[in-house]
Amino acid sequence: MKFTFVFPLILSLLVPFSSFSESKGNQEAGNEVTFYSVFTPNIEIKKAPREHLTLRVYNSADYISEDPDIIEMFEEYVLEHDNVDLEVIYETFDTNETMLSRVETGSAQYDLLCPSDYMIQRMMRNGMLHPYAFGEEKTALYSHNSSLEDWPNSYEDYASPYLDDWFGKIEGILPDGSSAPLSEYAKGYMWGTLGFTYNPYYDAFEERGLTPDEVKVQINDWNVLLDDTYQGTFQIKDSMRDTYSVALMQSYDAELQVLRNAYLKGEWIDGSSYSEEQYSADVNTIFNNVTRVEEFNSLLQRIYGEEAETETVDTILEKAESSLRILFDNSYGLEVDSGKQDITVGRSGIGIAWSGDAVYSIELGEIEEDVSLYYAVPQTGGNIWFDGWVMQDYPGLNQEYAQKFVDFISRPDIASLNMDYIGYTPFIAGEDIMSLVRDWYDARSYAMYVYIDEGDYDNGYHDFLYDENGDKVFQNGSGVKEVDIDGEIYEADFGSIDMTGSSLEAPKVEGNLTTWEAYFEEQEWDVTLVDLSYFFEGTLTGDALVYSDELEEVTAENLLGEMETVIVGRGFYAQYPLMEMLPSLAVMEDYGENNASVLRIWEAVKSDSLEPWIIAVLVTEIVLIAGGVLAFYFIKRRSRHLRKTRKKERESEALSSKA
Amino acid sequence: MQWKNSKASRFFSLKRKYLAFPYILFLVLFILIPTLLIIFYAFSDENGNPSAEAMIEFFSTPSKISVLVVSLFMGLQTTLICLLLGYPAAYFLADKKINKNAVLVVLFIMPMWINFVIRTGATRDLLSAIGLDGGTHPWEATLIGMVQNYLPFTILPLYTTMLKLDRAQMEAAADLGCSPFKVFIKNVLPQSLPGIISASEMVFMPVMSSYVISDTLSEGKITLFGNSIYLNFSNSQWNAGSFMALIFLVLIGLSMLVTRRFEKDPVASRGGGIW
Repeated sequence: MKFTFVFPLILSLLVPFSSFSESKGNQEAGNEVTFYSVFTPNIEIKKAPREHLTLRVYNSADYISEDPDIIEMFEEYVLEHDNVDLEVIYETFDTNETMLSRVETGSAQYDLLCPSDYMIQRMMRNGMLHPYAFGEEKTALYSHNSSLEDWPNSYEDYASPYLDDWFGKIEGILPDGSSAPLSEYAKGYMWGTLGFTYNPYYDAFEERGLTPDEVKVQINDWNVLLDDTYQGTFQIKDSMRDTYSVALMQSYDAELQVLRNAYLKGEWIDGSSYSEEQYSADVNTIFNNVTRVEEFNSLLQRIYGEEAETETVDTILEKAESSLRILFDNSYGLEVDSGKQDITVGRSGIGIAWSGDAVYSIELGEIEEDVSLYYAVPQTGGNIWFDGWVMQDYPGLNQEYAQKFVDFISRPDIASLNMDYIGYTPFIAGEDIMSLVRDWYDARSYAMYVYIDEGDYDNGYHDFLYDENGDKVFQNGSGVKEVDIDGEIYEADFGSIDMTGSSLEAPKVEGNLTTWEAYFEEQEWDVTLVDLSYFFEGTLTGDALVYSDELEEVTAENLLGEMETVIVGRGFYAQYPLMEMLPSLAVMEDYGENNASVLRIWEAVKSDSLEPWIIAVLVTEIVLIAGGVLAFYFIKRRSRHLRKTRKKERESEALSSKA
Repeated sequence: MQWKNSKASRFFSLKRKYLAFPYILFLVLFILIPTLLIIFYAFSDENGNPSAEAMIEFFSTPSKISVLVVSLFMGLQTTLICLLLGYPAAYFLADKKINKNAVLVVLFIMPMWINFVIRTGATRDLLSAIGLDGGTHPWEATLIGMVQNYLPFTILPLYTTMLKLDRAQMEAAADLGCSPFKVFIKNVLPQSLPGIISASEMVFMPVMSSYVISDTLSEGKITLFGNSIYLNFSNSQWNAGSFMALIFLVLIGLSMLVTRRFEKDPVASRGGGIW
């Protein structure tokens, strides 16, 4: 399950609570004074009976930080600021479908739920959701405390404008037939892509004559799973929508390739200009062609002209089914949850993975198994998904605290705690998230921190060093604080590299200020500058640049035997896709009334294990058993009959002898 | 006032029939009502109107029939292998000379103490260590897992029946000139028949409906009836799923009918039913 996610210890070590406590301290330094001087005495004097309220939350399993416990933090925050004794009843589900069936059958009602994009659409269509209140309506709703200082509009302020815009554009159909944007009913929580986690150094690839570079290039094509060379080396998801989306990308690879070429050239086949928006819309049409057959047909006509075949839902599903069958037969197997461990222990070389699980696998592989795993979303495009908070429409809905919870969890400091714990990428931007991203992925951070290798600098195991106060220790030019295995801190000279400060300011080399570029060059450190401003725009005071050392430019033969150059990445690339990739990503909408048809092909593919020899063995065995039983029965009857005749004979003999 | 005839004494004298009430309540709430619900859903459409849609769909969809056949196959193979392995084992376990203080029986049922999901996960690793992983050998891996899981359920009923074997009768048969093979066919087998039947009952249907083992060990490549029902329910296909569950109920009913036929047998009724 994409949500079953216990983030490895190392990541929680990388970012201690400091980022949270610091920012909270800064933000509320002023508030705290007012709080203690104004509110606390009032409470003490009045001793007003606290109101007891409940908030029922239904979320995916392992999808919120439990250390520190965010639910508890929220309860305390509410008690402190609203003087309300709020009890959060928190329950978890494993799949969206489980969640829906529980809510659908009316066996339980919740104030706040966290389904995925398509499920939000389905719930909207079923009339199960309650819209969010905005502006004055929201202030009126906050009857316990509507102070903006205590309850700022964190979601509006910090949700990535880019994502908010994207997902806001998705429309959902309401029961009365009208449509409304998802953003009226949902607030984003986590987001990510669906792609491949892969191990380019997998033994089976080497045995089949594939070099790691070839694997890194060829993985950028969804058809890699249909290729004979990769037969039996990959796992697919035992989850209808995800594997169906892969099959769809394969079925319409040619069309997607045409769109991509046009986008790269900036002009359509007929020479007219082709914009990024148009490309995005066209990919989206192919991705959702089951629900947008008409649009899809007009796209096909634009590509193939008059000769274009007219597709229907049936023809689309037929193509997807044949692709699914090859996928099924070619794969090592299906998994939903085990795949993220399987790939680290070498059970498979490629796995279809949600980006957050990929981050987990990459970390686990690095730490436990010493394998280097990568993540890729093929160039022709793929699925981008998001999970969001929605409110169930029922009479007892506690809308005030449902909305307050969403705003609380959208605070960048809280969101970064969540990201740190579960490893998925939150919807929220802001300084706290940026500093966590830099802690994890920025080469400057690595350079700043002293590495401790437990006495061995070559074993590749690096960790940050903290002093007795729990602060990070940096090189200070004259020497360095270092810890030996017993935890004792001693001074040690660390060579000529000279860096100061606790932020990402420019480094000093031998006492002279230099640029990071020059520094990395001198260190022969292969670093790429990545701009994340598309995501963080407007929420940061500084820039959104990350110096990443994980992106590689690889040139090798692709599946068609041509030389191709691609950029490959790992955890960072999984967590924040490169800007160039974004136009090719699409949200897979709810199939609506075609849901049953898609399920039927999925079921048919999965159930296709009946082979002639099975029938032969089964029939033979049944015949043998039935024969045995009948024989047993008849022998029994015969012996009973014989017994009876013998008894009669004996009786008649006895009678005759008497006579 | 005499206590004996007071109302209170009558109230407190626990009549045996009242003792059955808790179970009857449980039966109605958790067995009878759900079963009726399954039947209701199986013969209605999405809006709750009576309909035979689910039935028609089931019998006209080749993939659903194929799942049924594959499940029957898997159930039968597991039952046969379990009997072949478990019968001799139970015979020797019941022999007081070999198994003096019944410690060995505990050894045989010990695997049941570990949760089967955990056990199956371990089996998956074990199988891939010996090169029989589900990715390349889905049928073998699943069968091994099924047998491993259900063998204790075969051995226990067989063992209890074997304990009651009339050894004197066997000796008499041998003394009167039966070859060891004939002693087995004419004497041991009929005597242990109730055990064989209850062992088969304990294995055959549960294998068909189990889905964790086949899912884990065949790497999702073999779909059994249980998986199929779950897939339908988890995608809100309540009617189709219910009809499949009903098919299952009918199969259980049929197998009960067949086995009851045997248990009426005067020889067979001598041994216990399900342990």
